Amino acid sequence: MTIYSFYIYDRHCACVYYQDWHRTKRPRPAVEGGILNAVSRAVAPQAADTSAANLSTSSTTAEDSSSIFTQAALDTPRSNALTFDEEAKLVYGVILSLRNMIKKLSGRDEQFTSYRTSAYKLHFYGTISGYKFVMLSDPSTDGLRFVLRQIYNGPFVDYVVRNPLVPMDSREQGVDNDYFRASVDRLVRGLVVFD
Amino acid sequence: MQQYAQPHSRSSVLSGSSLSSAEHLSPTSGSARFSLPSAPSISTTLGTPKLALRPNIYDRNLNKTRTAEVSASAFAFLFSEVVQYTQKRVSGINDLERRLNTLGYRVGIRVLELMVWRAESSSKAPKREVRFLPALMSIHTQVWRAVFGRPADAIEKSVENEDEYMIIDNDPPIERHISVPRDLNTLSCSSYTAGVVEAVLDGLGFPARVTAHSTPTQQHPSRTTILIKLEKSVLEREEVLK
Amino acid sequence: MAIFSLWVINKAGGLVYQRNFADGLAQLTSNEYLVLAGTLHGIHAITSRLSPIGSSSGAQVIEGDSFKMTILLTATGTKFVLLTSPGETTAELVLQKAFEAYADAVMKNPFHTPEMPIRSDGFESRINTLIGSGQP
Repeated sequence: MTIYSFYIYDRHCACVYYQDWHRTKRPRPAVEGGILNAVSRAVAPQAADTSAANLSTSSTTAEDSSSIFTQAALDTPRSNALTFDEEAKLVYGVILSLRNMIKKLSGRDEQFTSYRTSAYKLHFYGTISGYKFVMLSDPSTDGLRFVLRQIYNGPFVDYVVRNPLVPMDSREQGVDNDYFRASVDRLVRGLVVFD
Repeated sequence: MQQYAQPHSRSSVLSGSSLSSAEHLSPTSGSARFSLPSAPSISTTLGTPKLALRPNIYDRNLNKTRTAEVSASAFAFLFSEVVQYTQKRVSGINDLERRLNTLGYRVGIRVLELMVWRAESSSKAPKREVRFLPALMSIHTQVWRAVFGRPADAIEKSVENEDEYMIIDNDPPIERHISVPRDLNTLSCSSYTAGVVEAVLDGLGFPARVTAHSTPTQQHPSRTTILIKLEKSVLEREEVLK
Repeated sequence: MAIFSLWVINKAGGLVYQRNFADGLAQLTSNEYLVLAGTLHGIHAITSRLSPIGSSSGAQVIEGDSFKMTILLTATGTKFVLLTSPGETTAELVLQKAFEAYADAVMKNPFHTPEMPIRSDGFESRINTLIGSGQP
């Protein structure tokens, strides 16, 4: 039982936040211009010479270790891993198609909640304002929409909505900031289903 | 192990190129799902010495029938291909039935030979049916048991025509997986069985024309009647023998 | 507990069989079902690529608020999809049996063309026994 990753999309289909735990197959960093700024340092576009600097200056949040992983992955290029911008687009495409399919099939305004494969389970929660919260966990976990709701009600409102330094709905910037990241991290690590 | 010197003995269809597809076929889909018999799965015939332990079909004893059963699934696929192959080469239902009949005839000739060998070769006083009704009974029971593993369900005599007899099977095994489309609804794939019956009758000296007709009932949707129309000479001889 | 509908999708993503059993979902035209089956085929392929931990199958269960879709992918690429109420626990079993019926009554039927829509009385009657002709 564990949690693998967490995405937030805004109503313009763009990924504005990303965080992961326990992923063994990680995406390659996004290509330049592939994603917004301030989504996640771990997957941000990196030039080879500046990445070392990034590493040394990165903050004390949980993502320190993950940056090192990414660095290792860069040294041995894996052609089959997606870049993060590709992955983010695919995740969005899947949840959007599934949402439409569920709506069409039910004939009502019904939400798509989750799907499961042999390796993982994807949970989805969409807010009225068009934000989409997506979490990947291991396949045997029960529904985690309540966790997505908690993140929305708690850290997201506190450190994104009420944070004047985060430009919401800007189409240029993500919502990543240290407090939000640390707070989401604490919330997720505190879950019963986390490792 | 000697078999490996000539790898094309039995598994030639699968050899070489199709390793990956064999892999695909074997473990995941599971043998239980298709209720395959306990014969080794395709992947094992490629790689284990078990093969050497199983005698070639030509080396097996002709009289041991119990372990020589053929997988019903394998036969169903083969028969399906036979029907498709035939259907591509004919212009109508009658033609298709005639061709299936011909194919069945070739089986029937051999079935008769084998049955006589099995039943009479060990007997001190081998006999042969010369009267029609006992011959018909033996087809209903022995031939059906040899070919389908169980006797047919009934024998009837036509009330209108003296020269017509019928063997009835409520659920013919060869049609079990066949759904005849509406535009061919007079077709009966049991024409193949009719061919078998015709050959056996011919071999026993009762020339006849044998056809198959589906006669479904509420209870048995695939009930089939094998109609035997005897030649005049047979009736005349029966009359003499009375 | 209800079984709403059964789909069979061929390996190219075409819907070759679709049948409704219980009310509860929208009634769509056959064309709409065709489009949805194609979409599902695509999504299924993508979901296997999004795995965070090495290789993964495609989506096996997709859940909405009032129903779920259970998907069985066979070794040959044919997909069996069952739409049921969310609490239905027999979905996997029913799909397995439907696959069995398909192997018997469709693939062994000389009048069926592979990858084409399934029109077989034998298959219909097997499905009737399995799921029931109307209400579960």
